[in-house]
Amino acid sequence: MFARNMFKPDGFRNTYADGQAVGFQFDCKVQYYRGITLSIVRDIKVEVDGVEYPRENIRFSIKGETFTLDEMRTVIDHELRWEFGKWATVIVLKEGGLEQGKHHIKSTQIIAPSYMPHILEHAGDYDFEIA
Amino acid sequence: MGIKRGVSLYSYQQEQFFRRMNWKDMIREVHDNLHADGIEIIDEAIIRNYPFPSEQFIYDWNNEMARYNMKAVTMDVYLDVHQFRDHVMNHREAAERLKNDIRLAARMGFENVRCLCLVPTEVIEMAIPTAEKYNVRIGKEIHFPLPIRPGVKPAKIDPVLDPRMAEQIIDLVQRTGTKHVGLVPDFGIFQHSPTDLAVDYYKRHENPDMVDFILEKGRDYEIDDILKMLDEKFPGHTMNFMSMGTIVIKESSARPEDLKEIVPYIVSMHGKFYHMTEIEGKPGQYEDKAIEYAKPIQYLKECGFDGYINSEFEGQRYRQDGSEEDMIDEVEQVRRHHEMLSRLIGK
Repeated sequence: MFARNMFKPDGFRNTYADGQAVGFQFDCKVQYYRGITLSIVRDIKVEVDGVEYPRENIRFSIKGETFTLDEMRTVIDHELRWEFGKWATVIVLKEGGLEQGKHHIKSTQIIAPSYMPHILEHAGDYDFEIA
Repeated sequence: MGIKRGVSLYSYQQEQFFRRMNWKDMIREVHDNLHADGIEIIDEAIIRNYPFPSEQFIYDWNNEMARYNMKAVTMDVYLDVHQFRDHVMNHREAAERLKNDIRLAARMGFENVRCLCLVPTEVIEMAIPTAEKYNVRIGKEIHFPLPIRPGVKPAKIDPVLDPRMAEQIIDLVQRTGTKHVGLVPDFGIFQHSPTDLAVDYYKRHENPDMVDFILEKGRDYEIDDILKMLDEKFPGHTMNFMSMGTIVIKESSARPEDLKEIVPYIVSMHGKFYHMTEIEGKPGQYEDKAIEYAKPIQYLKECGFDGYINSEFEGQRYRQDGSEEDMIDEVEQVRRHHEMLSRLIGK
């Protein structure tokens, strides 16, 4: 669903901590027709300009809470669901962040909802710019 | 009495995704423009902080429904069996989840919960006392590719689905004497041919000649056989069993006349549809060319069915690969569906 519209156009930016760029981030919506419990997220893959970032560099942030993908395996909290149509922030740790200018992202959401006996995998592509 | 019309708010998922309509807007659309009163929801799409919404949300929901005098018909529930990552939910855990869904449905005024066709009968049986206590019926969905009665065609279907599902539910009802378990047949079981939206989708993403080849072979061969032909003739294609299943449809998975035998067990119906187009020579009248509606509705009427058919529009999914301008207008599609339902129901 909505491979293009999963990304928030103005959500792409570098992530700063203590004045240093420690990575980059973007906002996205779940590629499904209902909200999900975070524990069913098996993976979120991020590839920018052909470079794929390792799983341990990915952070997922929702309603002010930030998790690694491994931590997310235990998040069944009803107040921390990824609700349908709502933005969550994916942060990718990368020293110095991304260079200013145009980039291309491919991100893949892998989730295990109960409807189908198999795991769902949805990818989306987008061109963005870091100001 | 007679058959009543409603809408599953799932039909407006695209509007919800883009945040152009919220559930209150959807209820108003059903009331003001469809002149219908039935509402069906997907719990995890509508209920914020499911499965423990706030009192405020429940109040808001009931108040909004009361304002427009709407009927909360069916709440579609799921069992997130992969939720605990150290084990797959067992049947007792699943039953607890279902019981909680039933209590939640009751608080929101719903008459029924719909559970998926994969939910084991044993889980449903464990939840019967709760369903009776809260006066909420549990309806198990008869979804494509299931038949109503097995043996309609060779059971060349998903191995995890049991074609005897309807029979098993009727057995459970007869054995326990409960009035709180039944069936939710989905009109998708009367889909007899692929929808043009699916064919066009695959023509945009695959070799169009290959899609024509699939459609042609689909009349005589099974999906497995056609996939083997594709591997030889069109190497590098990305079709699989699931995607093939949307365009290789020779006949409906259920016979419309089989509905007659299950009418007393029908909790509500899912009015699945893909694409409502104007009937040639009949301006203002619409049909879904891929799904049989006239005969099933005729049989439902003959058998005195007086429950709800809730529209479940799903065609938007085949047009979400392009720009927003190319997407399908869900509101208009549901309005057309209700033109057809009103006409076929006859009031």
